[in-house]
Amino acid sequence: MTERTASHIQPDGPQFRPRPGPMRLTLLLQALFLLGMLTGLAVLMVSSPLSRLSDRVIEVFPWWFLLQALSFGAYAHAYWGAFGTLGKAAAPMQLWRHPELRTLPALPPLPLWRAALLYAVPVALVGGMFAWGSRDLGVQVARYTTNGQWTSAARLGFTRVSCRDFPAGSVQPDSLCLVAWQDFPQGRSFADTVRAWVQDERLTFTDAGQPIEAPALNLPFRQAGGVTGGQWTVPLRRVTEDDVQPFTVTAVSRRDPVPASGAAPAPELASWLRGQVFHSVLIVTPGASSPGVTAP
Amino acid sequence: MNPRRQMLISAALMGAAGALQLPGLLRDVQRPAADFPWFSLIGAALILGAAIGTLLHALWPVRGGRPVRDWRASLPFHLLPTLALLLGGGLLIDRWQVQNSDQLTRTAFDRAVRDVELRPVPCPRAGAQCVGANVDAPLLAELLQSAVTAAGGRVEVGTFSQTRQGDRVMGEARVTLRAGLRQVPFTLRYDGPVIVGRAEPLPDAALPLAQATLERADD
Repeated sequence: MTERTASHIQPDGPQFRPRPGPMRLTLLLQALFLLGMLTGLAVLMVSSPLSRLSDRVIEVFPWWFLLQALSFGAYAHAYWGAFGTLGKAAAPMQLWRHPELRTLPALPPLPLWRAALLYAVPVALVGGMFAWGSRDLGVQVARYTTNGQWTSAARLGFTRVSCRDFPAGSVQPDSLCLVAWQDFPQGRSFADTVRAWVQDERLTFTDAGQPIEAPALNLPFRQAGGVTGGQWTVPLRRVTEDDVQPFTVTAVSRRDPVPASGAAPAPELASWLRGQVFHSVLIVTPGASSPGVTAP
Repeated sequence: MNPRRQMLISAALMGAAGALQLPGLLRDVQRPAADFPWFSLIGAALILGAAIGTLLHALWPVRGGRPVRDWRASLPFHLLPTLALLLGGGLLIDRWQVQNSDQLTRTAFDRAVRDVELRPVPCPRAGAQCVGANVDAPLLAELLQSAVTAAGGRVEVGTFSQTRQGDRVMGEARVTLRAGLRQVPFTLRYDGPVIVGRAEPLPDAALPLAQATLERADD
């Protein structure tokens, strides 16, 4: 053993030591990596992965991968030029076990642009990975949100139809159009059904216990010209648990004729509804308001 | 230490790592998804190619006695097995997927259709696939179109035609669905009730479902 340690600088062994600056950076970043891993293990031991902490953990992910990319970059910077021939420069483990190798000449410094490239390539790879991971997510979230709204409205007696033949201006290409022609379940009135649907869509689901109800919104219904209804901008749940997004909800019904009070809600939609065989319409459009329909 | 022995140890370690990747690749190939398992194939080819390359480089007879550990000397040893694994594996997987294209397209369509809340219904014709939903026919056509696109299929331009007969709408579309690297032609027929702009009153009971049938088209 002593013989091997003493004669470790030999023609067959490593000829160089890595560049000292980036080598120190590598060690620092890998120590940070190790610390992060231990912290993550500790967090996993004391909490469930689905807890409220998970959002914070996911926020840390880009920084975590950035750390690893920089660590790769620093390692490449320390050893570039000695990768092609194995054993040409002493590995970190060799430097640790045989301190006499630290007296070897350092690898020649790299030109600045090449060093920058060595850091930029892993960082760009990580950036590409995150860009790829977040592609199209908006479309999927919108689709699942729409499906959830459709399902809860179907439970309340609505049927989804194509928005193609609705009067122009009251719908957008990404609207959800629902109609009803039967009595609503539990003998509810139209206004109560729409309010129940809005409250349904304002529930917040957590991993702990029952879903949390949001405080009830005051949705004024106006009656005029034989129809009742209104249009509001309400914050509704998106598929992701705690996230809300404003939606424009237009509800018009000619089912319960009542005395007039105020201006007619959505006059164009109301007159169109009089020619249809169903009695109620519910239109949900993502976004704060849609043109063509007067807001209350 | 003897470099040949070091390289043999490296080859054994990389071979073990590659062997650990193989079950994942096999699972990805047999998984009834319509996409080609590019990532697993490339990963397995890279690591197994490196293992075989190191082995070849270590055992290749050289006159000097010990192999030269330089990347220029070892490149062909690594490159040739990796490319061979990539090409051979790709061809094998493609052949397997062509043989099982029925199952692949069926599962892909099923999954995409479930994403737009259409559910499978019993089919009158054998060998076809039927889905239905409580919607009107124009919406069914829109949902089917988005499902086919989401499944990686293609819709021939302007084919989601809709013919109205009384208070029903029926139509037919020629689409292709993806199975591995190929596109397989299918015919999609659908019919359903009209709700908006309907002449007759709507029934008190539930409407008949809007239904669609997916059948293999002859190519």
